Amino acid sequence: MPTATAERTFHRDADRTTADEPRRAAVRKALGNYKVARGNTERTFTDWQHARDAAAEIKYEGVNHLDKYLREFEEKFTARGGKVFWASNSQQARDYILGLARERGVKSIVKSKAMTSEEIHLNDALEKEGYAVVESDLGEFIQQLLHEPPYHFVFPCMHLKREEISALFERELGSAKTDSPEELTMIARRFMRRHYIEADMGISGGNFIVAETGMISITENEGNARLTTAMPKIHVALVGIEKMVPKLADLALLLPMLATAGTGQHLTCYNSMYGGPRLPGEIDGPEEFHVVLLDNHRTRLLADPEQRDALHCIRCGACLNVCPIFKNIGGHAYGTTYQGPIGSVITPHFKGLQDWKHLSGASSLCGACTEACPVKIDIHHHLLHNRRNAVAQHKVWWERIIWFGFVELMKRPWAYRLATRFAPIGQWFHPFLQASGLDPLASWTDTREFPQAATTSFGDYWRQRKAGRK
Amino acid sequence: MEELAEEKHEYCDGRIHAMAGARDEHELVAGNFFAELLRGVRGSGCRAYKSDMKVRATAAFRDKVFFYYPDVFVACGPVEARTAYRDDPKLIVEVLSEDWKKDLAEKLTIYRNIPALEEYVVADPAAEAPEVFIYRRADGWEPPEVVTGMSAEFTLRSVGLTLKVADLFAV
Repeated sequence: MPTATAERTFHRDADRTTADEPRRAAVRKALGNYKVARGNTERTFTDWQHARDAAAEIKYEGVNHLDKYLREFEEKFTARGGKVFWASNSQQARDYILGLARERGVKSIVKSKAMTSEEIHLNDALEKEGYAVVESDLGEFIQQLLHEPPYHFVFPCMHLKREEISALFERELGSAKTDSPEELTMIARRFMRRHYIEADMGISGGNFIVAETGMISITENEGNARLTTAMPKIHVALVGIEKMVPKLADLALLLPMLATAGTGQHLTCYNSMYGGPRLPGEIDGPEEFHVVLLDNHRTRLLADPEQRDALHCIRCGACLNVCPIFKNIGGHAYGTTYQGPIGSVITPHFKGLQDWKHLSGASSLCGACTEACPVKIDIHHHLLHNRRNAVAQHKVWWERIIWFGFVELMKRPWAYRLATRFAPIGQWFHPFLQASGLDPLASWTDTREFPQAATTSFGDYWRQRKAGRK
Repeated sequence: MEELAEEKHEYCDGRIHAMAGARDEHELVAGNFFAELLRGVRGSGCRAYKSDMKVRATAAFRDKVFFYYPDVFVACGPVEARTAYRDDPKLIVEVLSEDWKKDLAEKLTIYRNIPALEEYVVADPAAEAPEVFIYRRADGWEPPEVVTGMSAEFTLRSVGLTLKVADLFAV
C-alpha cells in the first residue's frame, strides 16, 4: 500500500469506527471485564512488578542471543526427526509451505491461530492454489467466514455481538438462529470436527520456542491447537524467531504471565509442548513436523539497539486492551496484522517507516501500554522514537515552515503579543472557511468547536489586577 | 534503612516490598538445609547464611539491581568488614513458598546473572513426595536434576557435599 493510501485509509476508517458508538460501547464493556479479571490474577503474584522484571530479563536473554539459541533449538528439534526451515521473508515461508503441500499431495488444511500466518498472508496463498483451508480457533473461524482479518490479535472477533455471529452461521453454515454462546460454539465445533478428520496438513503458530529442550510451546483455550497438531499427517508450525526463550523453566513464569496479561486467567486451559513428529510407540501426533522460523524483518528491529526490546513481545495483547486509541478506533482501522500500540511500534520496522509512521502519531502517549506490558517494552517511547526517526529520514517542508514560524514568534515577545491581539480578529473570518477544503484547521473543526481565542491575555489581566490594587 | 528496619524487605529495581512470615514446613526445610550446609562447609573458608543476609544481583536488561534474602546460601570469597550483603554466593537454596513462581522462575532468572553462582537449589515441601530441583552452571545453565522421595540423596558439587533428602525434610 503506497504511503498516502495507507495513511488516508487509516484516517477514513478511524473516523468511521469512532463514530460507531454502539460498537465502541461493546468493546469498552469487554475490555472492562478484562481489566477486572486481570487485576484479580495479578494480585496472586507476590510482586507483579518483579515478575515483569524477571520476564523482561528472560526475553532479553533470548532475543540478545538468538544466534546461539536458534541453533540450539534446531539441533535438538532435528535430532528428534523434526525439520526446520529458516525463512528470511514472507515469500520464502509461503513458498516452503506451498511446496510441501504440493509434494505431499495435500488437499485439505486445518489451522490453529497463528498471527504469523496473517502476517505472511498464508491463507490467501493457499486458497489461490486450490487448497481448502479452515481456521479452527473459534474467533478466527468467524473472521474467516466474514472474510475479515482479526480485529484484535488475541480476541479476533471481540467486536461482534452474538446475534451477528448467529446470523453469520445461519447464512454461511445453514444453522438455526440462536443467541446461546454454547449453541454457537457447538455449531462451529460440529463443522470443524469433520475438517480435523479430513485434513492432511495442520498449520499452527507458536507462543514460545524453548532452546534448551528444542520444543515449541503452544497455549490455547479451546483445544483446537492440540487437534490441529495431533490429527493431520503433516504439521507446520510457523513461528517468529523472537519467540525464543532459553530454558524450559522460563515458561514457569512466562505461561502464567501471558495468561494473566492476555486474558486475566491464571493459566490458559491447554498448554502443550511439541518436540517433533510422532516417535515409535507414540499413539498420536503428525508423521512429519516442520518448524518455519520466520524473520521477515525482525532482524532489522534486532539491529536497532534503541528499539530492540520490542522483540520481547509475547503477543498477549495487553497494550491493546488498555489503549484509549484502540478502544475508540478498533482493530481494523490500523490496517496491520498487529494492531494497537505494539503494532504501531513494530509495523514501521516490518513494512517501512514512511508508509506506516502515521500509526506512531495516533497515540496520546499516556503510557498505559508501557505500564500494561508484562515484559516491560518501553512502548510509548518507541512511538516517539518512530516519530523522530521518520522526520530525520524525510523532512516535511510545511512542518519545517510551521516550526520555523513558531520559533521566531516565541523568540520575540512583541511578535507574540501582536499575534495574541490578532488571534480573536482572525477567528471572525474562520466561519467563512469552515467546512470548506481551505480550512487549515479542518481536522479539528470537522468534529469539534474551535476554542474561542481570549480577548484579554493573562499578561493584560495581571497588569489590570496590579493597577486595581494600587 | 534496611539495617534499622523492624521487618525485612526485598529490593527490586527501585521498589521495596515487605517479606511475609514463613510457614512451618518452609522453616523446617530451610532450617535443616542451613544446619547441613553450616556443618558441611565449616573450616573450608566458606560461610553459610540463613535468610538474614542479603544477596545482590544485577539484571542484564537495563542493568537493574536487586537485593534478595535467600532462604540459605553459601559464599566463599573474602568478607568485607560490616557488609550487609554478598554478591558472590556459590550456592543458593530457596524453599518454595505459596507463590511458587517467585522462587522457581523469577529469582532463578535474576540469580542466573551472578557470576560466582554455581548451583541453585529449589526444595518443595508441599509436594506429595519431597522434591528437590538442582540447577547447575556448566558452560551455561543446565536443565535441573530432579531428586524425588525421602530415601534419595544428591550431591552439591559447589560445596562438595552429599545430602540425604530425609535429613532435610524430617521433623
